[in-house]
Amino acid sequence: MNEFFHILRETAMRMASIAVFAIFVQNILLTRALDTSASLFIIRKQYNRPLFGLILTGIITISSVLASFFNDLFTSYQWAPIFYVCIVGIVYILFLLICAKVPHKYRVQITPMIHLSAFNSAVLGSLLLSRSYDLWGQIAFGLGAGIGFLFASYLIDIGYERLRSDKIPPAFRGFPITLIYIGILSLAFYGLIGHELSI
Amino acid sequence: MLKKFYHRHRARWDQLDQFLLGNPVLERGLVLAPIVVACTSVQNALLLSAAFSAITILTVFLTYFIPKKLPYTIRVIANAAIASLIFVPVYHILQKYWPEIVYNVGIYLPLIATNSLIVQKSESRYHRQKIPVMLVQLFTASIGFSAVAVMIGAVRELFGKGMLMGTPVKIIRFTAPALLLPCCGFILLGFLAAVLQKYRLHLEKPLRKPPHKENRHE
Repeated sequence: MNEFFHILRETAMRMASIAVFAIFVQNILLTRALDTSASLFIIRKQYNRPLFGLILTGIITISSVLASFFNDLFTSYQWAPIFYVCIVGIVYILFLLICAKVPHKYRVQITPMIHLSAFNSAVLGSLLLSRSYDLWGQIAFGLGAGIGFLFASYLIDIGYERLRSDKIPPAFRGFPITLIYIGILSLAFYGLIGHELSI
Repeated sequence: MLKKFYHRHRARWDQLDQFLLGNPVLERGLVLAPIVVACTSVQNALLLSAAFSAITILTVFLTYFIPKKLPYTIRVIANAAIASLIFVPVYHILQKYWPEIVYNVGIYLPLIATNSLIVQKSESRYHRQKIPVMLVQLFTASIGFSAVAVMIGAVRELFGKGMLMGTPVKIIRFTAPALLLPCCGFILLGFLAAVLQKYRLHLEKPLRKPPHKENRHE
């Protein structure tokens, strides 16, 4: 029994460290630049960000679980996209079938988010990045990627409102200043990894 | 001169141009990831541009013939699946001739197979056009992507590594390796988008009317 708890604790610790790694070091949006357009789209359209994050996390995590059983068959990048497209396609249909059971007023809100999050670069990017992990590692990376996306899009959303000020020169207003802002956030994340000055 | 041309043919320009004012990267914010992270040299940029052009043009053209009667979800999955199948020979060719560059761009090469122009915009934009218009739009979008990729790649390689196309440039006495990081990719892209926006604002300004003959004599 003790051994079981020991293995459980070890696995939980390992999963937690992979998830933290995915949130801060390999942040899907600020470090890997994946899914920036979807993030800007949900901010611009004022979609329910936590709900989108939840759907994205669900799609990444479930796809990761399915992919983990077949990862060894496709070691090269050549066949990886078609293999992952099949898996994500199944998860996409599964999510839409589940969504069909939800009351209409929620379904209207959820369905466009499923369409937006199914085949975006965050999902396929996470699957490609977590190929080297085992099942638990892939689940942890999927959860971390989704939480990381949510965290990064929250940070972008905070600045987005302020970036619409008239004080910003017209040439920079809108998309250009948002990119520069994301760049500065990305720089902050890079600093978080920790780099010592050589004295 | 270009401004005059723009005002005279504005409707057609807006419909066909995805190189300058409708640039997929700088104007619409699509396919950002490969440019921000992987375009750290001109060679990487050229390889990604070639893959992007081949996969996007072929896929959007072939998926044009998928019956519109099929549900949207099935069409989207089919679009992604066809793009992934086209990716196989493209990857094989690139891997055969430029294995080092393929290794350098990492996951950003397979990710091009499911870029947002193929998965989402093909349904909402391209497939609603007639085939010749769609092909011109795809062609200009590919040139637009390639131009941005090469510009960003050249600046980062020149000032980040002191090289151009893998050859050291002696004039560059110092390098700023931080330019090779994704954060600087975002910032450089932001400045490039600002230049384009400035030019767009200039083009969209109304033309000055020529003064009347009477006034000219005064």
